[in-house]
Amino acid sequence: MGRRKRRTGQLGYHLMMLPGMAFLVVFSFIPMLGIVMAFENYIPTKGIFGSPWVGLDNFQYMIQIPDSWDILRNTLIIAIGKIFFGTLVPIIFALLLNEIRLKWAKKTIQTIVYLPNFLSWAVVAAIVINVFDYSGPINNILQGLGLHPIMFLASNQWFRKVMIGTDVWKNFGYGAIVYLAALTGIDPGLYEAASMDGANRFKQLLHVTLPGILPTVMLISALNLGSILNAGFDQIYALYNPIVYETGDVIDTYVYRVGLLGQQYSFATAIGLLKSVVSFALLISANKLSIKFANMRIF
Amino acid sequence: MKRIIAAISAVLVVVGIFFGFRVADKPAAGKDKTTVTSQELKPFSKYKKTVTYTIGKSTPGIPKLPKGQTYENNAYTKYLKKTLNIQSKDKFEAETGDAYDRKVSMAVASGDLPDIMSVNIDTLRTLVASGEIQDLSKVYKSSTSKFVKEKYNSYNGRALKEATFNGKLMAIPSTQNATAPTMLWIRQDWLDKLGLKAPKTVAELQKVLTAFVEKDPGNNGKGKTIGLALSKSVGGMYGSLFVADNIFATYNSYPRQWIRQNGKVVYGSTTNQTKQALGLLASWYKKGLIDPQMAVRDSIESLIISGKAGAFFGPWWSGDYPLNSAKQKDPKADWKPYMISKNGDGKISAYTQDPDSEFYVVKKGYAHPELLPKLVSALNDRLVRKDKNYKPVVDFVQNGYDGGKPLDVMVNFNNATVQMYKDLQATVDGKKNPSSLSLDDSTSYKNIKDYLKDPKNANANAWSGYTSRMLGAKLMATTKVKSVNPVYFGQTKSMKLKWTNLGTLEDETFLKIVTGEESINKFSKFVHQWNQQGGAQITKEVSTAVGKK
Repeated sequence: MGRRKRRTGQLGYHLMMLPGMAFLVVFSFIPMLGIVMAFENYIPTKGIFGSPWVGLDNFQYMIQIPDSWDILRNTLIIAIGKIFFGTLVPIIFALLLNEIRLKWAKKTIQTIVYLPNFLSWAVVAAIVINVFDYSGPINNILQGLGLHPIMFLASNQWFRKVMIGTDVWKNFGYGAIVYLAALTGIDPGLYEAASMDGANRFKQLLHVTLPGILPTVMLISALNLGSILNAGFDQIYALYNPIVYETGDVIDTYVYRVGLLGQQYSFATAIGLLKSVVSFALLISANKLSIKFANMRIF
Repeated sequence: MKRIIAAISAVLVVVGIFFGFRVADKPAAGKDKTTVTSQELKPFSKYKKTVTYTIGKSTPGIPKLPKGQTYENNAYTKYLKKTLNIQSKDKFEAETGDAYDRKVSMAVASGDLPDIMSVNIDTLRTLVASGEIQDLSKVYKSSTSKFVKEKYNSYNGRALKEATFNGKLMAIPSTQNATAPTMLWIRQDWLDKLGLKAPKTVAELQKVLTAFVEKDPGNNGKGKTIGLALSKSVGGMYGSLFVADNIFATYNSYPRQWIRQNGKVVYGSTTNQTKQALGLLASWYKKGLIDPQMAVRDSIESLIISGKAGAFFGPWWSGDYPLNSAKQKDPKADWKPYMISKNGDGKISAYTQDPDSEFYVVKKGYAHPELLPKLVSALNDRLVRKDKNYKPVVDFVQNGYDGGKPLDVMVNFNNATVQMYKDLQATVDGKKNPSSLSLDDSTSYKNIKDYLKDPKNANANAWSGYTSRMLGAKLMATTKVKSVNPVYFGQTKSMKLKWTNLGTLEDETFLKIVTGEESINKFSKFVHQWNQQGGAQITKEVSTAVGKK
């Protein structure tokens, strides 16, 4: 009786996965069949099965135009920049915040800093545009220092930096929560022992705090790898313009612009497929590397 | 055990809902085929039962509806309900331009179209190729009024040509004047304040813009006054606001048009003349005469309305939009149109266009395709002639409201703007009876009369009525224009895959050159890239297609 009860209990838990599985099948696996479109000249009413086949035409064209390489490069640079600084800044911030002993100040700072995370990019973009405006505060300061004003959002030198910077600004407060939690998980006894051994605050940070949160850092960075080619559609779409397509267009914005607005569904699918292939390769190699060097499996 | 069954059935219900919806979503094709009586097919006959139709509503950038009226319920929809017993329902609403095109693209991609909507030529081709819209040949014949047909016929068959595929009329087009030179609109009050004369040549314009920027006649604060407001798509967007076609034309440059040069078919954006015109604009940008934020500017209208800019290029109707709002905001803002020519003799060249601008299509499966030509006839014939005193619409038009028509179908005679100017001038001179004017013209006449009574204190509507028609349209009627006729408007085989990308390349390059992000010397690199990425092939195809004609 007891055994049966346990088994049915487990079955119940497994059944709870069903809606999630159904969701995955309906919204992730069935749409995957759409990849076929990349090999045909897709016409909406004729559907996937009725449209004529064109073989590798779309891929040939993709290799032929420089845009494909631009967007791949942009996507990688922006995504890697975001992951790198998006991990580094919250850690530093959490460490600094952890050193503040006034509880109310700590809470206040934390609350203020993670507010922007809850705003959508449409709202934040409006703020960013104003701040980086030709006659906005940043350019006013530059002019005050006797420098030329810079068109940050219409400059190929600056666009990526602004994208990475604003993304980090928007998310670092929220990202720091995890690290703050990890910090509280460190045994206070270790700090006492370290100070007994004569370690100052900096040495404590180096030898107790950092090793303490390292597993969390590893885990978070590994999770981020999965989204390495998602350089942030909302943000870039809300902020870019034709001048910075060269450095700012990422795969997602390009697919939207060319595929949906330009009504070249098949070509956009081919580009989207490129993204999946590259993501797949990156994820597999990241996993291999992390097993080899950190002895940790992502999957 | 019961619990398990309950859980499974719950899951099945959830999954079933997903798939159930998908099945239920499919329209029951053929079922809603009602038979239309031959009486109802006639242009002005009223339906017995109210017929509703869903539309994609493109709305003006600056919404202007009377209080209490909506896009689905206003003077125009009331009129259509009364005369034809039809009622529109908005499937989606979006601002004309990019926002609207985006909604259309989404609708096409998802296959979920409104019954009737307006599309551009590219989308029309996609829709025809995919068979998503109806053949309108029969209903055009049966349900279009004689007067509207006469208007289409005034283009010698060119008006319906682009909407016709394999002999079938797949859309009803809006017409536009085939020659609409872009003119320069400039702040006359700023000119007067600085004691400057109106510019006639490119060089004079440069001087005026420099004075605007340096002397700040608008009191916007140092460095805040903008000389020339310019669109991101620098030129070649026919009949549009804020594109510098007037400047390009003085260099004999016709960007984005297929033209014949020295006997060969060339794409206007790749010519040396275009390079020169871009060079000039780039030098102006560098001198600070052009809006420094043009690349990231969202609304040029707001720049003009708030009195920050001193000049822009636009069609003859710019007085109505956006300058009407500018005048409302600041009664002192006095904008006047001029035409810039090479040596100031007033002679200019301008490229012509196919007369079609927008195409109205009917979704396949919609039971009342005849509704579209009937609606077009009601708005462009009956309302402007027989019912021109219909009070709600008269009030609507005379108070300067905008965007009420469910579909902004405009069908005009080939020479409509010139004719309009001539009619109005004759009426002002007392040579024509005001009661013989059409609804729009009599409204304009009333505004012009109001303006002439007291030009200094005229309200915004009187001012814009006068400025658009007696100044703007007059320039259209009196300027000596050498028409340059583009040789090709169609779509070749290679364009289908490659044109979007080439267009992006062109947009990017032009904008970069003007804003100094890239030097003018990069123009030859652009031509090279353009040719390499399919342009050469397409040029060959266009040449062949043109040769066939």
